[in-house]
Amino acid sequence: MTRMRFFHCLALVAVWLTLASGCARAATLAVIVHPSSGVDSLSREETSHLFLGRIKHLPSGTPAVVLDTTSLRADFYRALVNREMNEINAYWARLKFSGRTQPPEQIEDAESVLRRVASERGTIGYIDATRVDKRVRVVLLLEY
Amino acid sequence: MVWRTTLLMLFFGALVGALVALASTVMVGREERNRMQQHLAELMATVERTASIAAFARDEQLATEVARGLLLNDAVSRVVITEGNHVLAILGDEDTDTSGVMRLPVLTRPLNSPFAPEQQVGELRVWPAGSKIAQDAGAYSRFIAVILLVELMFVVLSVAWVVFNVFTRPVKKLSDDLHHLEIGEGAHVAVPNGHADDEIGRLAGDINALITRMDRVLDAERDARAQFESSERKFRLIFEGAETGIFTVDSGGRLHDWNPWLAAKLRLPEREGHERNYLLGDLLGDTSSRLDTLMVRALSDQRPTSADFGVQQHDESNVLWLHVVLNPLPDGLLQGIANDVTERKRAEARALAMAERDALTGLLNRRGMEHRLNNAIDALNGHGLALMLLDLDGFKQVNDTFGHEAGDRVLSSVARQLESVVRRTDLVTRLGGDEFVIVLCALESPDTARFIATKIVGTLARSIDVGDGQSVQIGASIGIAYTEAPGTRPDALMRRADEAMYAAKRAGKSQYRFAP
Repeated sequence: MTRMRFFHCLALVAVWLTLASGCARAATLAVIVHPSSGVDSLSREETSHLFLGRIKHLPSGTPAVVLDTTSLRADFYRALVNREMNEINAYWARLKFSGRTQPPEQIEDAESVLRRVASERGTIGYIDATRVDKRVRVVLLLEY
Repeated sequence: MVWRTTLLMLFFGALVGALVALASTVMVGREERNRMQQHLAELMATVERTASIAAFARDEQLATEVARGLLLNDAVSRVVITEGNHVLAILGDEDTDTSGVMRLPVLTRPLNSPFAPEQQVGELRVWPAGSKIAQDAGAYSRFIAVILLVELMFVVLSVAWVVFNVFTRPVKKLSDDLHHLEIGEGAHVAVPNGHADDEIGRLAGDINALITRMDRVLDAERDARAQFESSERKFRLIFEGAETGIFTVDSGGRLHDWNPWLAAKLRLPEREGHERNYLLGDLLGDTSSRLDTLMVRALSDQRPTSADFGVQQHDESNVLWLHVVLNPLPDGLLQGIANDVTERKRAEARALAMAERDALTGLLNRRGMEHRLNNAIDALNGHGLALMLLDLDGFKQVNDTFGHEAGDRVLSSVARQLESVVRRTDLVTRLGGDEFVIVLCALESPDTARFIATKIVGTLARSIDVGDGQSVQIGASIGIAYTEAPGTRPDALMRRADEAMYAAKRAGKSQYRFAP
């Protein structure tokens, strides 16, 4: 009987692990802007153009300040343009050489990003969707 | 010869080389163009990524860097990078070289987004440098031309060497051999070394076969000539040694050949090779075309004909008599033989003279007179002719009294006296017995006859010595018949003279009478 419960418990743990990992995989990143930036939503393309330096202003005309969340970077770019980090780094390496187009500012933690976006009007960044609050506006959701 | 061959080969080699070089220049130009195009395409592929990024990021700085990098290449004259309608970078000048072959189209490459390959974000355009292509193509062409030239020289010299050693030298040797070969001495040309089994060997063999055959023909000809010469020598000996004249004469009467005998007789040059034409008629002294008649007869009848010709010798006194036989030959020529018949002619003339003379007095006899009288009448020609018939008076008594010897002496004496009275051209004849006839030719009138008759009568009236201290007195009665008519018959003339003579006798001797 005890033995039966043990196996039962083991099976349950396995299912949870599976579910947990499944949940982690199905996580969502939210691209966020200041609520008064004048932007309600961005397409995936507009987003990629902003983050890769092609567009330097928000659709509303405000000069864009782009922030990278270091811990989420790889997932973000994979989700956005289906590129690995080394490719993105190589891309920026070439542009850095000219000095005209600067890569996004690197921010260590999501909390700092949230705080920066909430405080500056032209700022755009990304954080885990679960951490979004009223201080910012979500313009695009990326699943990964 | 080898130089001519070599020069010819060089000429044609150079011609072909030039054509090949020309063709290769065009081909090389095209090849170089393709190579350049490929090179540019590779170059553009190399910078595509960076250019794409520059276009994507609209980064003019980076685009300019890319363009500058491309321009470092000689083959590139101008670079333009655009993003949409926006020009990010424009560098370099458009190439000024517009020569057709080397001109390349502007190369265009779309620049796609580095993150969305299906999305075009810009364009990379590159202008190729035509002058560079031309320069490269030219250098390459020159290189090929030099290689071709070197190869051509090598080939030509090799071929010349081969032609000289394999073909020209043996043929030249053969030619020299043949040139210095003495035909008819059994010599042959040598087959050049190493050519026994090829065409040159066969040529040498054929030449030798020809030489052998020619030798044989020459030998045969030499024999035939020797035989011919020997027989000709024999004939020539006969021709030259003959004691008779042998000659050929053409229908125009010109002598062609003659033998020494004839040359000696007619005073011709001994040998042929004379420039003058000798006419047989002139040489024979033929003035009455007898020779022409003789030749015409021989040629028309195609039969031998003959006649005698008397040739007046240079000393005037002698006549050479030639009996000429003409024999027709083909081609209008006549072969002739001339025999010296002078002796026979002289004998004949002597016999003829004897037959017409009176043996006792040496005067003409009746026959001789008649013969000449005819000619004299024929030759009257407006002059007169007198025939005197003379009969001695009292001759019979002389004969009877003193004998025949005395009679003969009287006759001879009368004959001499008659001859002394008349001209040499007049005829004095003893008809027989004591009858004489005197013919006076070419008289102007009968008076001359009268004068001479008077003289004769006077002369014969004188006494004649008959030997033994004895002399006789005789006379003569003369009858004269005178005529100037050419057709007069001799016998009628004689009859008239005869009647006149009897009239004179009747009148009383030692007289003359003219016939009426």
